[in-house]
Amino acid sequence: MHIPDGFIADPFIWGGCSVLSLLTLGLASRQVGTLWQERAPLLPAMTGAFLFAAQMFNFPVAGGTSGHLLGGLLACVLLGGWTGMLVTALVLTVQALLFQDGGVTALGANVFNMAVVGGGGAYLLYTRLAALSGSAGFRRAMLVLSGFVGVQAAAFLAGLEIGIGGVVPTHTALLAMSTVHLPIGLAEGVATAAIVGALQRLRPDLLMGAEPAVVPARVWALAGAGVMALAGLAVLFASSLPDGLEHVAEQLNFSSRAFAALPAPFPDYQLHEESPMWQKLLISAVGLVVVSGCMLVVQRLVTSMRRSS
Amino acid sequence: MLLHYSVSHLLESEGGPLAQVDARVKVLLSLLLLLLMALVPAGDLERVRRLASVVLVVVVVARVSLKALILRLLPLLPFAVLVLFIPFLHGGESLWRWGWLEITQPGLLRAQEVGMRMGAMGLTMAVLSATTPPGVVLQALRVLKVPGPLVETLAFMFRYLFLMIDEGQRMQRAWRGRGGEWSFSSLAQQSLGSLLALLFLRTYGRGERVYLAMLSRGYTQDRGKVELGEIPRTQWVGGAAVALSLVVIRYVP
Repeated sequence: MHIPDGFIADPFIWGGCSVLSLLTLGLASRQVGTLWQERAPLLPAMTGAFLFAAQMFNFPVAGGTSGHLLGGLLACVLLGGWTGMLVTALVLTVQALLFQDGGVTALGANVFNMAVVGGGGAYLLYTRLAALSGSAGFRRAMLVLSGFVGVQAAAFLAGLEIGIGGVVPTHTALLAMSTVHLPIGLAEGVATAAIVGALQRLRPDLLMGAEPAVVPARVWALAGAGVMALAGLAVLFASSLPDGLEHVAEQLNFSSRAFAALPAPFPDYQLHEESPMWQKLLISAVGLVVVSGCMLVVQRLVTSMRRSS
Repeated sequence: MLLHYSVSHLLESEGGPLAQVDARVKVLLSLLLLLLMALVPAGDLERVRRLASVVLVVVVVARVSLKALILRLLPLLPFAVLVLFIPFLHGGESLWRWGWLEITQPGLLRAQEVGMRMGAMGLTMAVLSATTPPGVVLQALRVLKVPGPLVETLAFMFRYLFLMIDEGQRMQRAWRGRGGEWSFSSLAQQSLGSLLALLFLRTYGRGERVYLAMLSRGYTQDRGKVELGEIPRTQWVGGAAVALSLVVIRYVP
């Protein structure tokens, strides 16, 4: 998944990803300052070297393909979210500079995919899920799930970045990346859970991020904003082709009978035919805010009903 | 088990005229070259070709062995295969058709451009790392204002990497002797997980001992710094001239 130089053709994509990664890593390095001073660079450096060594070994996965550990989630569980992201980013930097694995101009995108989203994002998901139950088996299962989701999200982003630049059509890139990384994501989750399980038995004191920490509200807000921004971006690349139901309707010749019970304010995400890009962006933002607002209201309602019963 | 890529070649730095040039000059010039190439708008084949030929000249001048270059470019292999598929993936004027397989003119141009970009940029970094010892490349990052603790961590990481690989190979041999097999099912049954966790712990133990020994002998962050010294004036001038000509080659119509 290490995108090489030249594969992200659009400077706005690699430039934008670099800015996003730098901002996140800047935030992270402010948080980890004390750890770095107390335990010196030893634990982060060892973890980095370990990820590096673990990434060099390919293991066979189903269908004759092979995959290797990405390790973003593992680093976060070992070191805590912020340090884990930073260490994964350092590993990617060494790989780009010394091993030609992943490009230098694509480094920002690779860091964003694999360290920020595949590492930090997956870890955020894990802390949320692990807080639901204290059972060791449940937490292990949640590690597998978070590892899988993290790899899938990273692969999706990588596909999107390559696709937007026009090197490969977006839908082809997305489909290829997501399919290839299905077994790899599963292996990532299983490997992370296995290594964390073994370390928990042998040296639990070294695991700084295995217990679900209380994540500050502003981190959730940031992550939420990030997801919204990405979803908004994805709307722009939503297929204008008919979806499955519409396709069947057209095939069976009853699409003309379809009518809207209520006129939609923005049909097909447009104010009028051929709306400019900024209008589409604005409309998708409005849609996302409305949908998440509704979900928040439903969540509040459910919680208050539970409390009263 | 397959090695994703080999690392032993990294310890061998090649000689040649570029090995004499200061690492900071090389790092800055390589980054400039990558940046110029990445900023060429998509479809501008002419400029991509120009910059790629500059890289080829550098490769010839550097006199790096072919083996060293190929070993360093191995991680690009999957993407090189992907480049071969690009001509089939774009719509446009058809050049060749067999059933649903179709090579198009825009697809072919795109593949050419991406291949050249990827190859030239990969070669730039390969030449840099082949003519500069890895530790020095990392230290040269300080000119780019990468914070000291991060550079130190990078240097440590690099040092422990080889420790980890040695230890890993030893443990793997023993594990194989006990009937272990590198497969998905052994990963799921946790025998592989335990092995990897043990690898981490054993190397951590060794690393900790080494680090404590370093501290007790008076190691501080500044002592660990490799002194790169002053950049000679001739190299300043030469570097600036090369940078200028790169910009001219990129922007001249």
